[in-house]
Amino acid sequence: MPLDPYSSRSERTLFFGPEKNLVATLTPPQAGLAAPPFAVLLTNVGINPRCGPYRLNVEIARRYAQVGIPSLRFDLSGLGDSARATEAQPLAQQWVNDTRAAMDEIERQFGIRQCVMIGVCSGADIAYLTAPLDPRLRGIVLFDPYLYPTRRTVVLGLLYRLRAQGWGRTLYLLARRIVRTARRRLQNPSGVAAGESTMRYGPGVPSLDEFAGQIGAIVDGGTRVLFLYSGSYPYYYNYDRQIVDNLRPYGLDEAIEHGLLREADHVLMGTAGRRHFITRCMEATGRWFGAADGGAGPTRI
Amino acid sequence: MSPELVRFGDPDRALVGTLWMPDSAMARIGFLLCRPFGCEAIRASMFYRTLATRLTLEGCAVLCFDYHGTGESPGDGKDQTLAGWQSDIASADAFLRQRSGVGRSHWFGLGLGATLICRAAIDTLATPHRPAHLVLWEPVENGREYGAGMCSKHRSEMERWFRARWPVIRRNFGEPEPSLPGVVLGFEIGAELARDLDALAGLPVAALLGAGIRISAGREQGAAPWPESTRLRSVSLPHAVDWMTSHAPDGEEYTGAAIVPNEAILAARETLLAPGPVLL
Repeated sequence: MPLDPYSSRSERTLFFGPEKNLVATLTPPQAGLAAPPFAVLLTNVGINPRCGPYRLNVEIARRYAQVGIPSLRFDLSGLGDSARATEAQPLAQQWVNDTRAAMDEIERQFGIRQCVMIGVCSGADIAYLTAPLDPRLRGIVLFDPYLYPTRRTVVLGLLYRLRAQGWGRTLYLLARRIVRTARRRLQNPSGVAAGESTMRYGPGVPSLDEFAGQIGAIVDGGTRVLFLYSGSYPYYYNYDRQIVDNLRPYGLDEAIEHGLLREADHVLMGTAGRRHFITRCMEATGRWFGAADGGAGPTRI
Repeated sequence: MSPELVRFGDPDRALVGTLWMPDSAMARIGFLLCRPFGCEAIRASMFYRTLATRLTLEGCAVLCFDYHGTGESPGDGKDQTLAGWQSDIASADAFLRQRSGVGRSHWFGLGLGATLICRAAIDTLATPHRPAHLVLWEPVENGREYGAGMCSKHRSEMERWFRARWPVIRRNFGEPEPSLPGVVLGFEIGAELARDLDALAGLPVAALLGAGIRISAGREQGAAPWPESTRLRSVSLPHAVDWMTSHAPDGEEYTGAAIVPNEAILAARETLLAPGPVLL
């Protein structure tokens, strides 16, 4: 179904938060649609400003507005246009507080108490940390969060390298890696191994036990979780059910939704991957909140 | 010191920006910061914020804004033209002068932003509001080369993200070949903007200098020389920043948005010391 044209003229930029140091752009839903059942939160990716890498967050916000869902894309303290908070707090705590303040603002602006946070890269860290602490966060989409390779990942990674780079280069790189790993292990016996995350973004990298514990707390609280992964880490995340294999020992494999978007790059620069990512987000969030047509959103009045 | 969030311009072509006012009641001078295009604008965002802060501390009123259809401003990227963005610069300058009370302002541009301020300044020559000083940092001087560079960078970025050669990526993931018009480096370039870029060759530096506008520039080493003038101060940049990539030269990912070239900040600050019309 083609979407109606949306006018970005109705977007508003504002300060919010207890210190009014946080800056956000509010994208209201297109007029004439049913009352929105939820709102979307979008934030920084790394230190990209709130418009997101390649203006990704703007596109997501406007797509949701077209189907009647408002959104707030905001800069965390110290990033983009937001000033630092005056009170010194650990970074992760500060950013969780900022996210909760964003939900306060959504509630103030729209009276909506159900939010979904779409977190890309470091934004996924923030969603993952905030979800167990605030019951208003009813759904989170985590794109390329921490990666926990399995034995199958290692084998498939080798096959990927063979296909992408051929035998000669693969053997050369493999030999170089073995030598380097051996050297590193000699110097640092606690180097990265299977079952440990290789991602180095955000406020800290949890062990798989810690990660599963947090995901358990999130789903126990009734929050829906969609894991999406890009094709940018073919040696660390490379088959569709890897996260399921990660979480099965903890009894969480049925509690989450997941997808591997092989054609998507980590910052969603490519056309095919970006389109697929947005479609998956809208389909899942529409379903979570009872929109019969998934991605098409709420019914027109 | 915190900025004011501002929205200005024609309602059909609204612009969003941040206005930084100095603590002193009277702004010493107005400084308009014009962003580059696409991923360069995003990666330079921290640089622009730092520059705005530094210039405000020097007593300037600073306006940093997003062109229509870019960043946080309304509008779609695919509908834009160079002429449209030049008119945005004129709107932003009028807004800055009106809010700060300064008579003439200084303009800073990086990449395509530098190109745009040159062209927008030409449009002001017959008016009393022409800028006093332009800072052109790594300006785009050949649109065709710039477009080809973006396409090439698009391929290499994808190759790095997927650890595979471009033909393999195209075959396996259906990723289209980058071209103008089309989606390049994550941004859609419409037919009109593609035509504008294709026709872009050279900057009207001589005309601007001849009209009494001062120019400070940072250009890549080996760039074709500009006309000599006492109003021109140009530095050669042996290590120009690659604003289009998210990867360091060794292939490792890095957060390129953190780059803040100190030479550019110094060049902008030096314009406050220049003699003549800039202190009017």
